[in-house]
Order: sequence, then structure tokens, then C-alpha cells
Amino acid sequence: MNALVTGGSSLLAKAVARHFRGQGWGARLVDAIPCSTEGEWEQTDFLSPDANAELLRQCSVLIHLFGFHGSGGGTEDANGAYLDQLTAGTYSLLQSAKDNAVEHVVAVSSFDVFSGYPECYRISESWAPLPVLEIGPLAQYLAEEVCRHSARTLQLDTVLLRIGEVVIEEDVVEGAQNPLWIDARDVAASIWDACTKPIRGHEAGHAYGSNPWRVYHLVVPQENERFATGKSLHYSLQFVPEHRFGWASPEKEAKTS
Amino acid sequence: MKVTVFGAGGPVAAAGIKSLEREGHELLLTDISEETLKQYEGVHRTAAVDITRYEDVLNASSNAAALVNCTVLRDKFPLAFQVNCRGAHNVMRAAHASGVGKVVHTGPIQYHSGHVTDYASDFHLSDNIPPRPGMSLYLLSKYLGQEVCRLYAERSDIQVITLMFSSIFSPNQVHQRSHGRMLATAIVSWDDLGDSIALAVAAGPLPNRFELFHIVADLPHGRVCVEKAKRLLGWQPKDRFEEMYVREMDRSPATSA
Repeated sequence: MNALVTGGSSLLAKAVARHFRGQGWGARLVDAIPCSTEGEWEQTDFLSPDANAELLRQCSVLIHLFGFHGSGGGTEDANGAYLDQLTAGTYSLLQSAKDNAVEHVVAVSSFDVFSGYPECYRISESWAPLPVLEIGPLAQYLAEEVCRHSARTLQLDTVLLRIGEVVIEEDVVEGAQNPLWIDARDVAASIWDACTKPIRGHEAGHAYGSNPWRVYHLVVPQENERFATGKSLHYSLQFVPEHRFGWASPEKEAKTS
Repeated sequence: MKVTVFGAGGPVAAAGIKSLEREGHELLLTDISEETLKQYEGVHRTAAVDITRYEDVLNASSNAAALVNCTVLRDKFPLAFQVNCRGAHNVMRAAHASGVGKVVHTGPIQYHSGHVTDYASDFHLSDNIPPRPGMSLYLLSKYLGQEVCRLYAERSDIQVITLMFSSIFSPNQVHQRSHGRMLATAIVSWDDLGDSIALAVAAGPLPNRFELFHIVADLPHGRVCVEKAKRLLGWQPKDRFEEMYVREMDRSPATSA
């Protein structure tokens, strides 16, 4: 079994490849606008339907890390290319995924799609995205929309994960804290789970079938979190991160108080 | 009022220009094809503008009070995304940067193309239902452009009026074969469509900074609501295409018997 991983030059892509290979799968890493020159990733152009068809020919899973693609440097041309890769490129990848009978799509976006909301709101998976008018959040929102309409129209099983800043727990600077830190290994494990865990309960649907589009927020549990994680914890994914940055979880605090 | 029209060489713009001329607006007509602008030389200012190039769009937007975006590309990948989505992004950015207070955006109705998950089998479709473009290259890329317009309108001071239409005819173009047969959900005449563009340019403040309007003739089939454009823009379609749905009673079997 093989997975195609976009955003292949990112830290997250490397963790995903390691996790899938650890489960006996093959993983191919590709990138259109790399954010790093290191690693084993291959350069590609998602605007090429032929290249996408070749990449997905023997893959059963597409892991589209569009929230972690390089942005190209901020020039006018780079911004245009970035927007094209996330919109047209996502469209072409998903068409190829359908044509090649890919079984699961896991799209990984970021919480930047909610950057237009005031900080005081706790935002769940059911909220409508509201990006600020900057190319990164805007392009990610549009890529999410392509995935959503693809899932609905092509009946392509698609899980959208939204995450914060991807790090390795051991590498973060002691003393500094970002409540949106998430360890790359935990995200990789949840991507695996999104492809392999059975859909259960409410999400399994009923006599009329299940919804091919599921959205989860991945956050290390903490008090007064900005992004609610009820679905990722309690629905089919059952996300429980191993790497918690030494933060007290709300459950533990509740027990001690 | 100084108005810049993008995609002015196309037929939708031609209808709008006729109505805008009648209202006495000062027009700058732009298109990627200079050839298509020759018909306007000596009457209006013209300029070659590639909608996918921000500098072009920005230059054409300075000093304008309103921008009218009639650009469209339906069937070429990835250019459809670059014109329909990135182009819309360029128009909104240029409006924002130049202090233009109004953008009139145009595009197709995005939810009755007939795929299984759209609203093709529903009735009384209002202007504000969430679009369901499916994975049609044309509809999806136009939808993303429309979303960019919505986000800019909601997060800036720009009023965006989006005019949505589908099948455009002149009443005298309706083929004899179509007489007595309603073949399309949404038909409008070129003249009525042109009037809607001029009315959108002239419209005062509306309830929301982003407003969508069906621009569809008064048809009796109960598929698409057109009340909003009448109420808020004062638009009154004149052509009703009766020959497409009114039978010739003197040819009915009962009459002949």
C-alpha cells in the first residue's frame, strides 16, 4: 500500500512518511513550492494533470498537506503561483485521486483559516472559516473548499485536519510556549488513524450512507483552549496526543481539584 | 461615474456597456484581447489588461469609482482558475488598494448543473443558498473567485454586488425547436442582463456589503427566485420568453377535434 504526501519538504511530511513506513506502507513525498531543500522529497507541479496521474497511479491514500506548502517568498509572482497550486493544484490532485480509485484523502490545513475571528471565541469544527485577507490563510481556505466540494461531488472519502504549529516536543525551547504547538508525530499518527480507524457512531451515518467529508481540529488538550476538539476526541478519530509539552490536561486538573 | 470594465471584449460586458453608456458613465474598457476592444475605440477609453496580472488590474483601477468584472474562462485548466479565481482576487485587491468603493462581479448560477449533490431537483431556489459548484472546472473556479469577493466585502469597505445568471438569449434568438419547451432553469435576455449591470453600478447602500442576485427572467416554473434583484436593485426584466413555455392552443388535439 502506498501514500502520496504533498508538502513533502515540510517537517510534518517527514514524520508522516516515517509513520506510514513503520506500518509497512510506502510513502512518496512531493512538493511544488518547497519550504526546505532537505530530505528525500521530489519536485513536482500540481498544475500538471499528467504528473498528478502518474504520482497517484498506485496510491491508495493521498495526504495533502496544503497548509504546510511553502509560500514561495512573498513576491507578487510567488503569491500568484502559491494561490494557483492550492486551488487549481488541489483540484487536479483530487480529480486524479478519483480517477485512480484512491480510497482516502487526508487534507491538512491550519487554524489560520479562522484568523478573522476575535481571539476570545472558542471555535469548533462546525464553524465557518473566516480567513484574514492575506494570501496564506485565503489560499488555505480556498483549498479547503475545493476538498469539501470534491468530497461531496466525487464521493471521495476525505478527512480535513486543522492544526497549529508543528514541532517536535524535544526541540522546543524551554520556557517558550505556544498553545497551538502540536508534535509532528502525533499528527502523523492521527493521519494514519484517519485512514484506518473505522467510522463509528454518529459519523457512520445511517441507511442513507455516511458523509464522505469529516473535519477535526487537533490540539493538545488544555484549559480554555481556543480551538475546540470535541469531534477529534469523541468521534471516530479519537485523537489523544502522546506529546503534551508538560501541560496539565483539563482532565487531570479536574481530578486534582 | 468612472467605471472600469474587465473582460470588456466579451458578450456579457457588451450588454452591460450598452446600458452603462445610456446612463452616461465614463468607461474604461479593458480586455486581454485588444482586437475585441476595437469596436469601442474612439467612443471609450480602452486598455489591454491581463486579469491574472495584478499590476495590470491595479493600473486600470486607479481613479475608478466602480469596477465591473466580466472576465471568465470556462474550459482550460489551469487557466480557468487563474482567470476566475486569481483574477477575482486581483480585482478585489486593486479595489482595496485604490479605494474603489464598489465592485460588480459576474458569474454563473452554481447549483443546477445536474450533478447528484447540487440543487438540480429543488424548487424556489433563493439567491443566498450556499453554492454547490461540484467539480466542474468552470463552476468551481468561479465559485472560488466569488468567495474571494465575499471575504473582501465582509472584511473591508467595498460593496460587492454579484450578478448570477445562466442561459442568455435574445428573444429573437430562441430557436423554433424550443417553442413550447422550457429547456433551461434560468434564462435572461442580453438587454435585461445589461440593465442589471448598470443598476448594480448605480445601486446605493444595500443591507449587506456582499450581495448575490439571480439575474433571471420572470419565468413561471418556480425554480429560481428573482424577487431580490427587483426589490434591492430595482431591476425589472422585460423579456419573458413566453414562446418557450406557452403552447399554441390552436394546434392542440382538442382544438383540432
